[in-house]
Amino acid sequence: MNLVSAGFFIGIVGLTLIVTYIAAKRTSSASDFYTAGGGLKGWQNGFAIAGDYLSAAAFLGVSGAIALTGFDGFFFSVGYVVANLVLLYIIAEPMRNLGRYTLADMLTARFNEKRIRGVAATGTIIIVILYMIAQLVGAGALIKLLFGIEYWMAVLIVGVMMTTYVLFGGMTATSWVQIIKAGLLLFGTTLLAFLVFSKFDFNLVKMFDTVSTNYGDQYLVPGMKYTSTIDSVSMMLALVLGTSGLPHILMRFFTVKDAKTARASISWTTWITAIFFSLTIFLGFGAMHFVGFEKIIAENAAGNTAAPLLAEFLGGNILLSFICAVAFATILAVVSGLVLTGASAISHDIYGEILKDGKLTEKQQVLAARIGSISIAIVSILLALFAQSLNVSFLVSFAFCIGASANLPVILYTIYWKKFNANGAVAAMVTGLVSCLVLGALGPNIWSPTGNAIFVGEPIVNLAVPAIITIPLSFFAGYLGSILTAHKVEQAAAERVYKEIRVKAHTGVSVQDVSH
Amino acid sequence: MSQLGNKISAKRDGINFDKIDRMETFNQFVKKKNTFLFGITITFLTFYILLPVLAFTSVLQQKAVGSITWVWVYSLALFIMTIVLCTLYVKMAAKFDKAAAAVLQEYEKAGA
Repeated sequence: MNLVSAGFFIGIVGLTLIVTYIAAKRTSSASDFYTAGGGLKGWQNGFAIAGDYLSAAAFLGVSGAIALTGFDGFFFSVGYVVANLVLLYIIAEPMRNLGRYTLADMLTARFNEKRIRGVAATGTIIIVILYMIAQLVGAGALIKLLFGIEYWMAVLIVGVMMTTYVLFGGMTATSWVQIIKAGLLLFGTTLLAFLVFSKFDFNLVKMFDTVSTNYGDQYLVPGMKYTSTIDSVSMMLALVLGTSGLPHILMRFFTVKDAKTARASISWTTWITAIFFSLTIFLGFGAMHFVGFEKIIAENAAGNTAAPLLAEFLGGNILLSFICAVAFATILAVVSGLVLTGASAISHDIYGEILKDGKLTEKQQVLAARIGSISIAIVSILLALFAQSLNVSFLVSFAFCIGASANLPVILYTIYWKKFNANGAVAAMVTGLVSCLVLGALGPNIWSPTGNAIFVGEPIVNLAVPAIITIPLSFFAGYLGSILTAHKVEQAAAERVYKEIRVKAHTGVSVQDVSH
Repeated sequence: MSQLGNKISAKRDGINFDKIDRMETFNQFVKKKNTFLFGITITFLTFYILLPVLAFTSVLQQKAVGSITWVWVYSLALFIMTIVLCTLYVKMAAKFDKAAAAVLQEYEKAGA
């Protein structure tokens, strides 16, 4: 690490610590801790959600994938962008109107049963841990590459930083770290894309022609990485529907005061992500042309350092250091959000509401939240250290698959379907979760005859992301579970609750009571 | 809406959800809103999922402008669609806010 990169690195760490210090003073209640007191503004939350989307996998992974496989890498970009619409149209506002801190809170607003909360919290913890392992393992490898630190030390540094933000600053610090990082990332990407575009005389056709003549037309159509239609459709379904089922994204809607602000948040996020992911084309093709395959692959087989290498070519050591620092901030911000979300499921849902019947004082709740944060951080760090040599990057799209299968159907049914009942809810969530885990465990990410996966052998299910099976399965289970047990549910009471849900979801009445 | 929402929430226990749920104006509003929301959602999901379906056929693999193939054009169209529908939603939602406020106002007037 040289002086310039050390400067940027220390600058980012310093800035985030100052933010945490200020946030810590404002974090005294459980609502402060989990949702920043519901006081974020639309643009702030919009940047923070965008920050959650723009993980290291999105920034480094997508630009690297475009550099190495052309259009196939761009599939992800399209998925992330369109996913905003699902959130905006059918999830964000009802979620804000019905929920409090967690997904389970929103579901139990309709079905006040501990088993619902238990299953929802379990799903959240599993998604958070899988997502976090992928981020931490990626982070460890990346920091090792960027700064030359040992893997275990890199994981430990990230682990300590994320715990510090969450422990002291709660959601306020986590959000601001996310906002700062999203701003820096957007700036850095725009700069890189501008520099690349200028080298092609600001001529889009010239850029594509260059790729075509020098590297071949196969980079401009899919097929380098994905060859099967069904595999791609399945993955794209997981991306577009999974975003609305990721607990750390859903939780962000409770950080604003009402549905109108939730709407404004996603509106911001849509613009930010649309701009960012359009720019990934320039980053990808720029790296392909100016850095070159050999150099990219020599550094990292998956192309994760394509963007930093491009920065080095375009702006020398200073730009390289800046982009590396931004990548570091990206990792920190995303894992912090995950720690907080995991803590909300452990401390609020399982400990506070299930074990203690929601009878904790404000002080006890905050203490529980902090203990929960430390526990989830320690477990994740240990798992990440253990998983160092495994190829776990598939876990990101897999987390989307679980979100789309275990969470999205139950959310939609809860808000929009009158005859839905608690048995249907449990059936939908358990089926979604279990089918993802089982099909995933039998799939090509775990089994590969050539040894590219965790075990050697023939995969039984040939879908990398089984969303195309698991999403319909979960919807079906929810439907069947509700219909078959309809006679066991006391209709009058169930209808009364649904009426309340329906009025609240559509008018936002009494949401103020829910949030404060 | 939020002002009225505040006012009503102040006496939350007094909200008669059953009564609002049975109001004709409320049901018309919800029906109109859901038709719009799910109609658009199904439309954009269809256009979206056609990308990976068509991307592997010759339809989108041909060149459109220079070396730019139709998959890129289609993807760009999906980006533009996202921005346009996002703007449309924000506009429509403002109308829905008004409709919701009118429902609550009517409920208030009728004497909660």
